[in-house]
Formats: sequence, C-alpha cells, structure tokens
Amino acid sequence: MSEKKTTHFGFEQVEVDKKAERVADVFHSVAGKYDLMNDLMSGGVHRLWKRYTIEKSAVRTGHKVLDIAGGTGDLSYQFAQKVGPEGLVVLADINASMLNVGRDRLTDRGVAGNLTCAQADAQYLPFPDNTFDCITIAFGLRNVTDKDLALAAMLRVLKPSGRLLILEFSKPANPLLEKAYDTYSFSLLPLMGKLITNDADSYRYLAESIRMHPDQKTLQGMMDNAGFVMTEFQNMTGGIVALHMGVKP
Amino acid sequence: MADPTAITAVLTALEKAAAKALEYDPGTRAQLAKLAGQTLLLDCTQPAQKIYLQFTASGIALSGHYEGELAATLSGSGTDIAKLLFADQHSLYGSGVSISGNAGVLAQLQGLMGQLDIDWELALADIIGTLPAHALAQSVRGAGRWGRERAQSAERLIREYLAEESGAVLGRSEFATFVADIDDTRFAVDRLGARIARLQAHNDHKDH
Repeated sequence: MSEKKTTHFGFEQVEVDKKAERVADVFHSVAGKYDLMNDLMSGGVHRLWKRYTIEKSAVRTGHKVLDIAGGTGDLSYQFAQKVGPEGLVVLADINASMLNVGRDRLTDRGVAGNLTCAQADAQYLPFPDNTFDCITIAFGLRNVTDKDLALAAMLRVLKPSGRLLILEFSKPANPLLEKAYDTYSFSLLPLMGKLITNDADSYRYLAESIRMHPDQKTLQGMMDNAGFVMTEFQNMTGGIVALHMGVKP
Repeated sequence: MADPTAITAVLTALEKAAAKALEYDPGTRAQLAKLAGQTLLLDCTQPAQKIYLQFTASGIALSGHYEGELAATLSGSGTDIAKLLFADQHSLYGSGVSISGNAGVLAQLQGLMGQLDIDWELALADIIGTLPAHALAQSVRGAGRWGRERAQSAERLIREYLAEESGAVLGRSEFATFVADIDDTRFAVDRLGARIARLQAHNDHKDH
C-alpha cells in the first residue's frame, strides 16, 4: 500500500490533495468580512503595505497586470487606475466567494472596461506565456499547496523583464517583536475572529499558516530557483511582512 | 534602508491633508491641474529621503518610489526645501537648495503655494453644519481682528514709552529735528569753506 504525500495546513499535516479544499473552506467562511478583519487585525497597516507594493510595481499606463489571490480587489482597484483604458488588470483568485466579493466591490466603485476576473489556481495559471508586465500576489502565496509550481507558473506568464511582487507575512527581525507578535497571533487573533466572524478556527489557521511560510531568505532562494533574476526583499514593520521582488530574464 | 511602513504612513497622511486642503480651494486645484502628468522629486539630504510629487488632474500624489520621467529634482535639507516651497524664500540663491531639470515647474508650484486660499469656513461647515460653522468663523475672525488691534496698540504704546517716558531712544520728531540741524551745520560748514577758499584766492592775487 503506497503512503499518501502530505503537506501542512497551519500546524496540521494533511494530504496534499486536501489542502486546497481546506484553504477554500477557510476563505469561504471569512470572505464577507475579510477586509474588516484585515483592518482590525493590522490596525489598518495592511493598506500601507499594499500601497508600498503598488509603488514598487512601477505599473503605468497600458500595462497588463495579474493580481493573483486578489480577493476583495483592493490592489486591482489601484492598478486599474494606473493602467488606464489601454491597459488590463486581471483579478484572479482560486476562491469563488472571495472573487465574488472583489468583483462586486470593483463594479460598485465603477471599475469597468480594463478589468476582468478569473477563478484561477496560482499553480496552473490559465494564461498564455509572456502575457503580463507585472504580477502581484498579496497574502496569498502561503496558502498555495506547491509554491515552487506556482512560482514557475508566474514566471511562464510574465513577459521578459516583467516583474513579480510577493507581499506576504514573514519572520520578524527582532526576537522581542517576534514574541509579542506570537502572543498577538495565537491569543488575540482567534478571539477577534470569534467575536467578529464567529469563526476562531479560520483565524487560528491564518496565524499558523504564517508561521509555516518560508522566511525571507528561503523565499528569495525559491524565486532564484524558479528562474527569477534580480531578486530582493524589503522587510516592512520589522519583518512582520516582507515584499519580495523578482524579474523574468 | 528605513522601514517603508513609516514613510508610507507619513506620505499617505500628507497626501490626504493636501487633498482635503485642495477640496476647499478650487482656484488652486484648477491651477494645479495644469501641472498634471509632471513629477517633481524632492531629494532630501537631511533626513535622507526621496519624495516624489506626482501632479494629477485631481490633485497631488506622494510616493517614496517612482520609476518614470522626472520634470525636475530639488536637492537640499528638508527644512530648506520646505522654506523654498512654503515660506517667503523666492529665490534659489542662498536657499541651500539646488535644482536640476525644468525650473519652470518649481516656479509654478511656488506661485500656487503663495496663492493658497483655503475656505476654512466651508471645511468646518462640512463637519459641524453651516450655521455653527459661520458663528464659529465669525468669532475666530473677531478674535483675530481684536488680536491685530491689540498688537498694533501695544506697538504704539511701547514706541511712545521708549521715546517719551524713558528717553532711551529718540522720538520721530526729535530725530527729524536732529537730522535737520546736522544738515544746516553741514551747509554752514560748506559755505564757510567756500568763503575761506575765496578769501585765500583773493589774497594770493594781491600778493602777485
């Protein structure tokens, strides 16, 4: 009898083909109040992290941008303003509930003409080779089952000299900050999740998945291995979050 | 490199403040739209920070990172650049700031800053309502007028005390009399000098 391959789902080990399903359940559960929770959990700082990501993307008029795990669409909205009517933004998310919230919100904000939505798995991106000038994935990579496969897919659909930006929780540089952050993540975060969405487990998973995500140097190495060049990362808020950047040669 | 979260927070706050100010000054906003599409780099040496001012049709966007074309770059300390943009420093000479690129953009921006005329009463009305805002604005204007009058009166009283009571300095009329006396004396000395010269010339003529 062959042993099934496993991967982590937070601190729990699950069969590889079950992780996507479990992650999907988490995001189906939190989709409706995802932005509100983000604001509460980060004290609004997630907006600054995303703003900096947009600055570093250097996206301009006419560019094609893929916003993977774009969820509720806050990055896509800004990109749609920057690329103008000649450009294109694709809001992609594997989770239908998150994508629905994002699409409705962007429609309500009057974004039309230069934006499309796609329910897509980051590991198997349904786009032709060399399509996008820029790809962003904000707080999504840690939920992907096979990150190497996803990085290879992103490299494939980027145009040569196109830019990948990965915004993700990471490892705090200061041990004291790390201790405080741990206390916050494992005690306060699930409590807030319970109070606001009546779902402590989903927020416990979010905290655990952050700890299981590769640290700054490891992720940079994975990008190098995937074939990206000029890879670098920038710590933000003491390393609680890091922005990784790489270019397709 | 500094943590980008802090500088992004500061720039976001400044951008929002500028947007709010322009909301209540449509004249400046319309003028600013003429700079749309241009980007000015403020390259601060102290503190070391680059700030990009991107002019758009609807206002100004601030960022710490930009990779497009620049209209002009201002380099200098933060204080010197702020003085040049917001205070009475109108010339680059002696300002401690250097410029490269199109200096016309800076001149336009300085002109706009000088004309900034924010309708604070309207801004207040959006928060507390028209009537309370008008009443409050009237009180503030009244207090401002009273303050100016008191300041002028204090200046006059101090001047009178110094000149008349303490005698520490000369009064305006005494000073004018003193200057007139000096002028009279100078003219008298000049006339006397001329007479002596004439007499000397007369004596020299008789000796020959």
